[in-house]
Amino acid sequence: MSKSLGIIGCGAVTQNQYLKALGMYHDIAVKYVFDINQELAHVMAAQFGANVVTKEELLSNSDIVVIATPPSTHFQLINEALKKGNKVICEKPFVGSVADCKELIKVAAAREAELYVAHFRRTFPSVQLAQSIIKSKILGNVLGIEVYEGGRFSWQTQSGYVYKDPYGGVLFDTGSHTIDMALFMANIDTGEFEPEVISITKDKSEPSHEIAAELKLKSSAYDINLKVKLSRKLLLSNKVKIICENGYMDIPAGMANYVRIGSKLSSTVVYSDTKYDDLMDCFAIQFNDMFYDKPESIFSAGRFLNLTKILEVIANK
Amino acid sequence: MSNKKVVIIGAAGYVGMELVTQLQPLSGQYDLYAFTRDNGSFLLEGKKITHLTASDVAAHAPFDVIVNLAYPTTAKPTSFPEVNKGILKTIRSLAGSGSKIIHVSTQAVFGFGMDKEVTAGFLKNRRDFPYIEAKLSMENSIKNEFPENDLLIIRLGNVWGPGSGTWTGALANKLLFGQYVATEGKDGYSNITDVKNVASYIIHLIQKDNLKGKHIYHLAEFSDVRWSRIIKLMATELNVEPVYARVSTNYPLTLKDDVTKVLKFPSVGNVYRELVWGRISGSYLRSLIRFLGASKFQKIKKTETRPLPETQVLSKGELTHLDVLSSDKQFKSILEEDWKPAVDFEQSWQIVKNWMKDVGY
Repeated sequence: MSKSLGIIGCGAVTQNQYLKALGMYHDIAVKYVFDINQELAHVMAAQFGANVVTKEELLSNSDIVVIATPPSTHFQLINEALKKGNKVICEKPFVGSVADCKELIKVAAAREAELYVAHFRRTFPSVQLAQSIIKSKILGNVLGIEVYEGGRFSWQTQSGYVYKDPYGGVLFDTGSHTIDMALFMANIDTGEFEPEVISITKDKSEPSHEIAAELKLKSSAYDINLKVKLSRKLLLSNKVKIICENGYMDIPAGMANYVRIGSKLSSTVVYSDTKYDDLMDCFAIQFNDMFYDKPESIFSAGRFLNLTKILEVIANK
Repeated sequence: MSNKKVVIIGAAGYVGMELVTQLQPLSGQYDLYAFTRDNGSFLLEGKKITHLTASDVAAHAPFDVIVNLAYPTTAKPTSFPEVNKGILKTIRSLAGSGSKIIHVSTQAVFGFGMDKEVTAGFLKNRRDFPYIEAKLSMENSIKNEFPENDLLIIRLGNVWGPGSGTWTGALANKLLFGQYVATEGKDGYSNITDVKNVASYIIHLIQKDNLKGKHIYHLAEFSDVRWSRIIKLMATELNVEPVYARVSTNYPLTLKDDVTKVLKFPSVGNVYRELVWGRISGSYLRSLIRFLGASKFQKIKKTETRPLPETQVLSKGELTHLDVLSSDKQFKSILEEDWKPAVDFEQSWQIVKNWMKDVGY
């Protein structure tokens, strides 16, 4: 029997990505759609072959709830969905504060409900490759991480949240993706650290469009320097650099199957055996993980607590 | 005497933002207006420029000078003709009988590999890649729509500068990650123009009052610089070795060649991709696909077993990139003689080099 899925939010990500990605499953059917924009909800319902319902009906009748709304609405919607016992998949960015993050993880545990965050870049072959290289300790311990992502903004947002919502700026938008990739590859998305601010500059308070930050990530096991540069105005190198005791690694921010590994003497490009030619392949891997209850999923909400710590510290400055 | 009113369509784009920056010291002489896509206006925050939307155009039109930098870029190729119509409609709403129109086009109207004869005259519309067809068609549409207006068309070479997506950012990333940066044995002309010089030339044309009728300019002030020089400079900066492809891009192709290529792998997905992104169909068939509904093709594609591509298989975009870098045709500048570039090549490279350091390369 197929499971019923309900989508809250019919904006750009649902139209451009979820419409295609969720159509790939025979045993998961998108049955319910809700959006405060009724016209948009009806357009998307027709495309999914789903029904437009109220939020309450959607939460009551869906086995799986996908939340793809502007970020400042995430906490409340996730909370409601978890309390109904739904399996919840939240579009990134998760939530804006550590307190909210911890509260939702607690609610999910109490209700034995599953909560995932769709940071699909974790499935990129280059990211998987980099993570395994760092884990192998060939390069030694991680000393520093540099994150660069920027380009002129062109995402066709429906709600305009990217320049209105305090969680819509470059930090939570593309920055959450790249910082998450970095933490995942450096294997510091699990276990807790405390971020200490060295410097933060922004073009304005959130939602900001340009950020340069330097933090120290401190735990009993490590002391890692993190540099973050993000922009919606200027093209940056769009990569993550991980600096280790014996060398460094450059990883592209976009979907790829290669990384550059180097030392002071020389460098070379290393390829993964896995290569995808469509971003939807990454969505499929991510959803397989979430839909079919993979134990210890890399998308479980608990793996985004450290990311939220960094985002909160930078956002509040 | 009141200031001249200048409106820039596409002001939040790469060239647009540089143009707005260079126009700031002149804001005492010109009243500046920006017409951007809905989500682009915040990129110009803090600049002395008035943002226009379709609803308040009537209150400000007509404009003395209209600079059009907009072109179909993010929409699907099947929608390019519609996007062009929208841009034309915007120009129409901004223009009066005395408006000077400066339209920014591209050297690609002569083909990605510059395989057509280069001439500073109008060209006939032809079957080609969607981007090229859209650019060609826009030049001709503006000429036909505004026969009485002064029309200055600038065909740009490859626009480079700090943060140029294709010719600096993409090239640096290809070098860094060991991707093909050029074809072995083919050292093409770069045909580049620095974004600072593009903005400077547009301002020159805005300021020049004695340009009447229709003029076509070609701007590629560093066209004689070979790609090998640029690749060497960037590779040295990145401390990497460039990787060269041993492939033939085989342009120009005839219609027969295009069809034969598609029939080699006649899967639904492949045919669909060629029809939409390739130059086999031309804009009429692409429009037909749009009206028939692309979703029909996508539904069929779902049932296809799609094999993973081999590592060394090059995408159409990569082949086009190599094609441009292999072109042995120089796109020489044809410009107003009294204009002097804002930066020379050495200055231009220093700016790009500083950008590379600043953004993490």
